[in-house]
Amino acid sequence: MTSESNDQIPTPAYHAIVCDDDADVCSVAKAFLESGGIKVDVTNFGEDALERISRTNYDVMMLDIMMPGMTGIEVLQKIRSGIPNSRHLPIILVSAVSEEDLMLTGLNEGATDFLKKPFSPAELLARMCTHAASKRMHDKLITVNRTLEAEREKIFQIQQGLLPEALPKSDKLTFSAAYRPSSRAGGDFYDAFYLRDGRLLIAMGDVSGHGIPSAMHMSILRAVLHSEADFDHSIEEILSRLNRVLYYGLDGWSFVTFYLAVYDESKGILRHCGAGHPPPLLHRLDTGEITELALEPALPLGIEVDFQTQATNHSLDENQRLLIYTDGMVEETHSETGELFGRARLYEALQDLKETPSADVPARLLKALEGFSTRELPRDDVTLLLMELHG
Amino acid sequence: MELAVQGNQDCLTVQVIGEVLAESCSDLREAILELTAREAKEIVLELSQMPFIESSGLGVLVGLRAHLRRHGTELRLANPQPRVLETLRMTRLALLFGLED
Repeated sequence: MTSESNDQIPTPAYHAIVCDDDADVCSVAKAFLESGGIKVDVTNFGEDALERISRTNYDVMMLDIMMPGMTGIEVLQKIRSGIPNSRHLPIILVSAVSEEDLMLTGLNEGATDFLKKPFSPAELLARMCTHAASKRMHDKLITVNRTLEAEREKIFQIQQGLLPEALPKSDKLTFSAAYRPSSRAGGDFYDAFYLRDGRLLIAMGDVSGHGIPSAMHMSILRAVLHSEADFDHSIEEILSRLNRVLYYGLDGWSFVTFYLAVYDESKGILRHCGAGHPPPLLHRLDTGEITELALEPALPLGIEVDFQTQATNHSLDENQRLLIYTDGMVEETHSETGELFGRARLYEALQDLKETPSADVPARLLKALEGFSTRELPRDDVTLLLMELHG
Repeated sequence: MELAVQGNQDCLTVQVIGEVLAESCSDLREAILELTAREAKEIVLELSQMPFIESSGLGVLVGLRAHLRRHGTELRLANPQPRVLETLRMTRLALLFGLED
């Protein structure tokens, strides 16, 4: 293995710019800084300094306040407000003792440090080095941050690719969905697809926690679900197999709640089972009644090595909507009061959307949630999957 | 989140004070794992002062339960606030932690 330690690569010399109208001060500063290993550019004019800064990524600047033409304060203001990428350039102001007010103005305008003339060249060197080092660290953090952001974005894209591209549709039913991760990569998962025997398989999972680890677990879930569904297993068997894979595959500090159903369109029978997942809601559009479709109690997946449950049958009819959701939907709280969104508000929001085309319902429910919580991103991932049976 | 531990070899009670968010999960895990060495018969997490626990926190509780079992210690939850109990019921974890029969 090769070491990537930066200690082995000699750090490129710090690059400083010195701006002072006094040529003597400049040459003393240059000589001393160079003796300390710093590469130095010198200029006697503010306009020239600005021009150089726009071209070169300096590590640190020494800037005199009193200069003919553009003053140090003006140079400072221009740098802080106008030159891209130079907002973080450390600037050490230098001035005579009598210019203390200007020094304060400079600090308020964003100067990093100051030195009073006459200053000791050793002190100038020490301060220039300190500030240059922090500038380098800052640049490095920005690079690292950009790399991490890019990695996260990649994982997010992979995860988006795991969600179904198109949901099943027939003359009898339509699906719609909404998915809102709490961070760029979430731990929720849903899917709906036709099995070989023509029945529909509907699934939703929620990995405890969120972020990148949960997203990784989610990708395992999807792979196992699809391969198991190909073998004509019952949904109880599929859950039990998913459980075993997760029991051995999770790190021991997470679990997965899961909902799994098969729907037979020709008979109108939904057969479903769950693992610690909220039961779906059935909305009867003719009467406006909303009920939970009960699930046999069962622990989430990945906790115990053996998982057993009993699926139950429910008859569905036309003019009904089935809403499957993750608990992030009902456990969201108001950003200030901490009040819970809760099931009652979900029922209410669903009722309000009775006349809304089903394709828009999940997104509108999310909107209702965001309107309530006043949060930009939900506290937990929120996933909604709606199946509407046409009249 | 803060923790207050008291009790003896038979039963250690850990009072959890404050919300358990994703950021405090590893603190909770480490603190309880440290108690493993005391070889108590039972560790009870007293939750009356815990208004909220994030799902990653629930994951930690599940993991702790499994870890402590291997060391002969039972993990039990006591006095959850209504909202937390609702979460534990919905996920059926209430069953696992002796909050329901």
